[in-house]
Amino acid sequence: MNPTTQEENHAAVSHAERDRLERAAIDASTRLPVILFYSSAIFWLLVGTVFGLLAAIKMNIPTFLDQWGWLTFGRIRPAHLNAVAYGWASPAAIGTGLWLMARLCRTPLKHAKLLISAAVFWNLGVAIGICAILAGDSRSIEWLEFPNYASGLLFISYGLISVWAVVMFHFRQPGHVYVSQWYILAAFLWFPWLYSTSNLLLNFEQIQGGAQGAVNWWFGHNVLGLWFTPIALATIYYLIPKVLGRPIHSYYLSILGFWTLALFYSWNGMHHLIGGPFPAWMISASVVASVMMVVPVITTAVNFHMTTVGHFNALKWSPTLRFTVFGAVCYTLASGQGSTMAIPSLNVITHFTHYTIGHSHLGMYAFFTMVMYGAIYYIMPRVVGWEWPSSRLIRWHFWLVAIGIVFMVIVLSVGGVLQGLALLNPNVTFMKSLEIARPWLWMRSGSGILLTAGHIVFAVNFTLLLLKFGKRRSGPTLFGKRAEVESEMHAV
Amino acid sequence: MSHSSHSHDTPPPEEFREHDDFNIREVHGAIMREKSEPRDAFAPIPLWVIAVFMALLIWGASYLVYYSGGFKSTVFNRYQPAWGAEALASAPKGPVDPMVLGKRVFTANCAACHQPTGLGVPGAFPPLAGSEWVVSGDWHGDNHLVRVVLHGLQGPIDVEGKPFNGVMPPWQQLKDAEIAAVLTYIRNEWGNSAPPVSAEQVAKIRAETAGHPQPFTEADLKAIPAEKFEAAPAAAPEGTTPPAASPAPATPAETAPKA
Repeated sequence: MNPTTQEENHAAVSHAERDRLERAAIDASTRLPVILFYSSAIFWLLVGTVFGLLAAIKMNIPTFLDQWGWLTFGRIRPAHLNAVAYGWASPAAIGTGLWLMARLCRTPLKHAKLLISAAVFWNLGVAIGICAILAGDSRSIEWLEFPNYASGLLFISYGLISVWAVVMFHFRQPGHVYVSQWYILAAFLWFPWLYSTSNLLLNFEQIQGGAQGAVNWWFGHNVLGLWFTPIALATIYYLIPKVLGRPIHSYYLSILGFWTLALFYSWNGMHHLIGGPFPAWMISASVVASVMMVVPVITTAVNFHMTTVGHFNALKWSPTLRFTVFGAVCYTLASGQGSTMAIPSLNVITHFTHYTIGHSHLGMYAFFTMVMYGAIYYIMPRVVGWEWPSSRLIRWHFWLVAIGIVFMVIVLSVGGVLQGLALLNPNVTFMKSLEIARPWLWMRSGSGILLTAGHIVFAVNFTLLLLKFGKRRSGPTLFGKRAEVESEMHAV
Repeated sequence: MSHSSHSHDTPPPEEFREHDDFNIREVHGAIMREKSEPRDAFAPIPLWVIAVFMALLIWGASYLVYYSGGFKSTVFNRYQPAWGAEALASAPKGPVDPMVLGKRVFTANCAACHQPTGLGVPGAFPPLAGSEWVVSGDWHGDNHLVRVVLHGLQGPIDVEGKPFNGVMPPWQQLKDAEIAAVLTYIRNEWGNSAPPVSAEQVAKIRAETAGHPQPFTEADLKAIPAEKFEAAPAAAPEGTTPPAASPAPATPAETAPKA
């Protein structure tokens, strides 16, 4: 080895060393807000799960717990939606988005303490909103049930978070802007716009008549497509290459996927209103845009698949990767299903049936929530400085929720189609169509119990991690025996 | 950007120093072992992805051509083709049936008092079925009937031998074609039979009586000589006959019954 190479080696080592120091400083700076957002998210996940389970059981036993007004289906069901959407999913997305942004901009989160107040405001808003729904003060607009005094708090909090994300992006280190950053920046700008516009038009200064339905579903679908989806895609784009140590397959596919998503997803909402009193062009444009979603979906699917291909055995040992890839596959499935559901001749069967509920759980749970689990498994050891205490609990968590959600989607889809065909058949009474759906709803309640168990396992493991339970581990918490995976464990 | 201009071999920049109390090496096993931040490779977009995109664009464009209703805010029926031979075939042919339009105007404006049965309410609202006021029997003329609808009627009147004493409001806000249609309707429904009224005839009387201050009374009307309208010309009320070759999609009033 000549002296020049030695010098170069030395420079390379200090470069890598410097990168590690930089990462450590970034993780330390995001620590409090990320932990706070994640902890509260998991709290609301448990609360939302209980509401969801109660609502599911009420579909089978309508008189169950009906002696208390605040536990009736009409309140429990929106409480479930809002607890999981604004209590669990959004804070999980915020925590993940902030951490990813800081890492990819290579810039620490400045004045992180102010973001703690954002987390407090957010949770206050969610708590007040859920209580208001249970107390009977819901706005009765799907996805926007929170009364103004709760949604206002959420908006203030979100404004703060958005500003932080944009400021972080502004102060990024020079160099290439990675695809995850595009999605996160876009999502942090899109959501406050969606939330404020639709709340203004529906809850503060109501617009007239049928236009309310249009605004309602413009929000209802865009909150999925322009908020939850981009954050989850950013997470997948980060975690798969990061854990595998491979570059993302194609920058050009990333570009095509991002811009077609931005272009087509924003038109999708009106497909909820097929058959409604809306000008034909609104509905038809939405049908076309919904089918066009095939383009960004196959684009990202190809990109993820080609990045992972040849390394699928990593799913055996990496919890992060297993949850994330499960979510990525379900993104393709959920979006493909959504495109077909927008086609009017199929929509006529599935509209107003449990099939739609199956679809929304495929999207919000099997895709988004699973990806967030993957992110939490990856990020938490870094911000807390402690490995996950139990590999067994992670395994239980995965199998309970994976089996639970697959089972739920299947039974709701089958039951929904049968229900839809019965509703279309003039020789079948409405009551008969309910009876046809009934056994499938029982199975759905069963799948809900699996999910509930999985969430409890996850919450226990998370709490043990926060408490730095047990002995300090020297390596990552992986599935399987350590010896088998020695060669690859360095990545996680 | 000046804040990031430091070179790679210098110690971590100022903004990282605030975390020096954090024992990085000991705590961050996860950070020590992780691989570098993700980067991009530059594989080209597969040809088949482009092909799928193009095929979908063509499909989407044709779908919109067929089912967008010409992007008009008044077309609600998706299945009304906006273009092509189908559109021509389904475009409304000929005039609107005044009985259909008349029934709609009647249901919306008149039925509350005169009742859907046309029998009115005894003692309160006079009947239209068999009424000499409607079919121009006795001293009544078609011109009287149009005046009543345009300007209203008040004070004691006699209908089918029974006395009534109330107020009928004026209906000037209705279009000539609508008044003509509703009059044609009530003159040919419930067993009534009288010649139709045309929009031109309504327009003529509307012009003659413009500025009439208040509802007519029976005495006012009796002072006007009765006229019987000629059987209306074959043409339909104005403004409802589309140009024969026009492929323009229908207005909502015309398409609604199909829906």
